[in-house]
Amino acid sequence: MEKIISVQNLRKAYKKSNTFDFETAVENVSFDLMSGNIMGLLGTNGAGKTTTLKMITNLCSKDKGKIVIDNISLDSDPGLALSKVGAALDTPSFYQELTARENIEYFAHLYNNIPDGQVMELLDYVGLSSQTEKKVKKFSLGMKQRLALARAMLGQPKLIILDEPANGLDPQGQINLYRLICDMAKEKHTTFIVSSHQLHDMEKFCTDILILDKGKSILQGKTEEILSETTNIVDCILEETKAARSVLSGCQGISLVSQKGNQFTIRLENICFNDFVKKLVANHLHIRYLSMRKYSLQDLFLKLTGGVEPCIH
Amino acid sequence: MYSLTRLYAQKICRQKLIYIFFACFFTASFFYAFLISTPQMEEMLNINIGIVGRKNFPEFMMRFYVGTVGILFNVFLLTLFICEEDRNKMLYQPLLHGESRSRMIWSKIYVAVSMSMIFVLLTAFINYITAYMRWGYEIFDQTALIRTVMKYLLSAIYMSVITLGIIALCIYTRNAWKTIFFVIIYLLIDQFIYSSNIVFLQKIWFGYYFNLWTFTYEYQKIPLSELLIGIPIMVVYGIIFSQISLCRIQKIDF
Repeated sequence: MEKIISVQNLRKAYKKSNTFDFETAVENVSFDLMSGNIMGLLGTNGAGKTTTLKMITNLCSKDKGKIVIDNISLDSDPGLALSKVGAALDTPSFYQELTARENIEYFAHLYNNIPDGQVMELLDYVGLSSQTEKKVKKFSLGMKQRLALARAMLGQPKLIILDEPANGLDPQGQINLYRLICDMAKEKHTTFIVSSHQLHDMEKFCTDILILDKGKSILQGKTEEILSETTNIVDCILEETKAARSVLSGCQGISLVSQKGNQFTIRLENICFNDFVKKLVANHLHIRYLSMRKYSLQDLFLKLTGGVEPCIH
Repeated sequence: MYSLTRLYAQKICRQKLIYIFFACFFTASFFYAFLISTPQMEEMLNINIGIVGRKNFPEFMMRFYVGTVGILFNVFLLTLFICEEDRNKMLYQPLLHGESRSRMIWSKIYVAVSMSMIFVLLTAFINYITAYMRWGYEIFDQTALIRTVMKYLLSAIYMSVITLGIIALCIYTRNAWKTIFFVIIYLLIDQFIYSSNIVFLQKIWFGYYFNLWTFTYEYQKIPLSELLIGIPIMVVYGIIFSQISLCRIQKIDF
């Protein structure tokens, strides 16, 4: 597999309005991505995801760092480097008065090598073949997201960058979109960078993960490796709330993640599930409900970004 | 860049505002031609303005268009063309499809300047049609015709510079209302400078030469010296405005 993009020590600071101070949006972000891989770019609002993507697409200047796309430096030849990239950033925007086909044809004219019929092929690929003559102003957000993907696919780029593509999509629409991305990565070896808040879905289809917090990279690597190295989570409902809390707080090898009434969420760190149950029984705690789940990307994300983990109800 | 220029030209031609505006302009021109032909009105306007009527009608209407109405129309059109596209996240889309920032802004400039010149010529066409409908061949008096055509051509140069200035404002402010505000301020300053006696300021102010050329009445000739100075000054302003647009677009974080 060839390296499609290499980002090194990316930095960007914005001047705060009405002051002379600068605010760091992105600090020292680095990653490499191979052909056919899908990288999930995660982070809370304002973590620097969109700024990072805009620096990669040269829509936003960078203060420091180096971006190499398909062995071409973005600084030395931005035109050639960006010819390998397709992107759908921000909310999908189109010429509202034009139809879906006209919109894609409009941008297809900017390429010299788009064969006849490719516009219709792309629209068909993203599932809009029956909507080609419909004006974009009548499109739902989900349809616009698909159309944005079709536009990003123009010119057969090696790298496609999607900024929160599942925003506003219904669950079925999200699944369809992610399936489409996975198919493209497998069939055409297209590389994707996808920023999203849909952690559950990202965990399933991303090969790589990069989590940003306050502009800094706090976790990155292969999704499988990241999740296999982490611990398990136990959700339980226990009688005698006060006693249960004191037992769980004092128990070695576990950490109490959250409590809501008699509902506890516990992280097993240096203890196996069976030993944990034995400890509960040994301390005469009455168990009403007990379930173990694998540590999800959402749990990890919340742990790293200092968010509150959800409780069971 | 040719592809992008063609696409922008197609895009601007789809603006309904253009057709609505020129339909209104034609109607205004038509009614004005027939309104001022009544003896009372003609007399009143001749007394007050002293330039209106028959063969001077296209010249009079040109001042009406290029002096204010056309500039305001251009501002609205260009804010739609640049600021609204920027607000709707469409301005940067060509950059994601292999175009550079400088090529993008040059394409915008080519289309906008061409359009502004075409609009001046279209105004001339409309005014001559309405004048012909009212007064017939009388309006094609040779001396008046040559002078009027020359003024239209000079106005087209002025409108091009104004257009470049508006593009620079659109790129710099990235806000439609701020752009409109600054253009209205320009119109006020322009009138102030023309009617003031600050000679030095007048000599370096490009709007002054436009006023000088277009307010030259029937019995006056446009001084050659003013032409020789005025045109280069307008060109210099045009170059400055386009360079401001080019420099600014390179620094914008979309």
